[in-house]
This record gives sequence, C-alpha cells and structure tokens, in this order.
Amino acid sequence: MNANHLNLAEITTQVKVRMRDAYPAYPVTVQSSPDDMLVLCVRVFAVPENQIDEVQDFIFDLQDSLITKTEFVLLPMIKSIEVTRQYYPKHLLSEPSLTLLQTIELYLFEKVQQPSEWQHSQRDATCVIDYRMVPTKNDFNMHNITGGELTPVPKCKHAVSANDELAFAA
Amino acid sequence: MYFDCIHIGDVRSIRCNNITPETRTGKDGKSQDQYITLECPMRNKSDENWRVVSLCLQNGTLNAAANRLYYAVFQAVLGYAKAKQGYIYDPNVSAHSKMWQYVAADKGGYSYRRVFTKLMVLRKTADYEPETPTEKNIKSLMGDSGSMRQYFLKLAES
Repeated sequence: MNANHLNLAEITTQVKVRMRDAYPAYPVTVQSSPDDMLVLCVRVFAVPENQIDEVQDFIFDLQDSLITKTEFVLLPMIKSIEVTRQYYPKHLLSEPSLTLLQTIELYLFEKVQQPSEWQHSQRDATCVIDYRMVPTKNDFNMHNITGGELTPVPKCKHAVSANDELAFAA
Repeated sequence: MYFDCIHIGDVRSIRCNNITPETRTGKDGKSQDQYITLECPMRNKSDENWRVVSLCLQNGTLNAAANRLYYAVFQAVLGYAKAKQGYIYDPNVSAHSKMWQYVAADKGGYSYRRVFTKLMVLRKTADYEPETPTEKNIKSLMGDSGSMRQYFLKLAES
C-alpha cells in the first residue's frame, strides 16, 4: 500500500512533467479514480477536436514507456474545448493565464481594497473580470482577458487588453 | 440422457452428446436447459449487457449505454480471468485495473489493451464526469469491443 502510494506521487509528477513538456498549452490534472486507486485519470482540458487523438496516443505511449512495469493504468480523459467550456470553465485557461488572473485579483485587492470576481464568457474563450466598487469610473471597467484564443497557449503576457495601468503582467 | 455437470472453480462445463429437446432432462426430471449454454458463467451476463447497449442507444440513454458497453467487455475478461488465471475477487483490490493487467498480459489480448482503456474512459465519463459520452464515441468502440468480448469469452471456454 505504501509502495503504491509513493509510486503514485512519483508517477503523477512524471506524467504532469511529460505532458507539460509535450503540450504546454493544455491544463492537465492527474488523479486516482474514485473507485480504483491504481487507475490514474489524466484529464487534459481545452484540447481542439483535431488534437484529441494525438494527445490520447501520447498518453497511451506514456503508459507503455513510463509506467509499463507498474500496476498503474493511465486513462487519457481528453476534454474538448466545448466540453471544457461547458463543464470545466476554470480549466479553460492555461495555467499561466490562471496565474495571471490570480495576480490581477491580488493587485485589485491591494489597489482598491475590494475583492474582484472573474468568470468565463459564455460566448468565447475570454474571461471577464468584474472590478467592483472601483474608485473612479474610468480607472477600471469591464476588461476582457483572453485565454489565448480558443487554443490556450501561454500568451498571458499579451492577454491583458485592459488599460495598461495593469502593468504588472510580466 | 443425463447431463453430467462438472464444476471446476467458477466455470461450469458439461459433457453432453446429441442434445435434443427430448434429452434435456436430468435425473430429477427437471429441465437441464440452464446447464446447456453456460460454458462460461460470465457469458450470459456479458451477452445481456451487450444487448442492452443497443437498447440504450436506441433510447438515447448514452450514459447507460457507455456503462453497459464497458461491462459487457469487462465480464468477458472476468470470465477468462476466473477460468484461466485463477482470479479470485479480493475486496481490497479493484477488479477493474486487475482486468486491465490480464488483458495486457495476454499475448493475443495485448492488442486490445487500448480498446479496454478507452472503454474504461467511457465508463468513468459516464459514471463520474459531468459530461455525457457522445453517441459517436460509443459507436466508434462497438466494433473493437465486440471482437474483444468474443476473444476473451472464447479463451475462457477453450
């Protein structure tokens, strides 16, 4: 049991690293299945339809090369952009974009002492940040922050279309 | 004629010749039909689930279709594991990953491991994920699933 637990941590890390190297644009989570600890669900989000088979094959290859001598099974659970948008909106943006959003939240909190909220647009892969109770009308409005087009790529430095008062993005 | 039913582990095999409706009677005079087709006890369950997949697809109940499709194949592999590998259920070890190991370890079944993995994904999605598997996805796995099911049922009964 302990050996499996240690292996689980190692394998989870390895899979995440390999996925990040091969597909840095796609958010990835690795978790044990709810009904089987030896089954690892590798969820890859916001994958365009024409990339789904390729990503799936990559995970199959990881199974054969990386963890072939263990009892673990990798399940490639590839989520299309549409499925991600509908059911996993927080994973619509790549990790750098999420980090950026968190930075913006912190910045706003420090600047205006008010919490901000953000949510994904229902229409496209943009993220709308609502800066509530801002000090002046023009300082902050509703700013759109793209998730790097529909294919999430680490373009977060270019993602802020807002006034460049938010010059913290680097 | 009397049918001699032999229990070997969890597999029932029968010795019978010239089966006709008239001969399907045991010592107690009751019908022996139940013994005639049950070479592998998991075959009936697998067959039943396989039929249900089609019904679910007709009804548009896609989560149920995905779930049953997986179990139709799972039970065929389970029948093989019990009959040929001496598999005994251990409540501390999930049978699902165990069956995957049997598939991957079998020389002829090795090529089916990706099919089985895809079926596991389908079942996980149907049972635990918020989204519903697509009809296209389920149907795309039907052909390989049917072949895999038959392969392991035959192995179990060989």
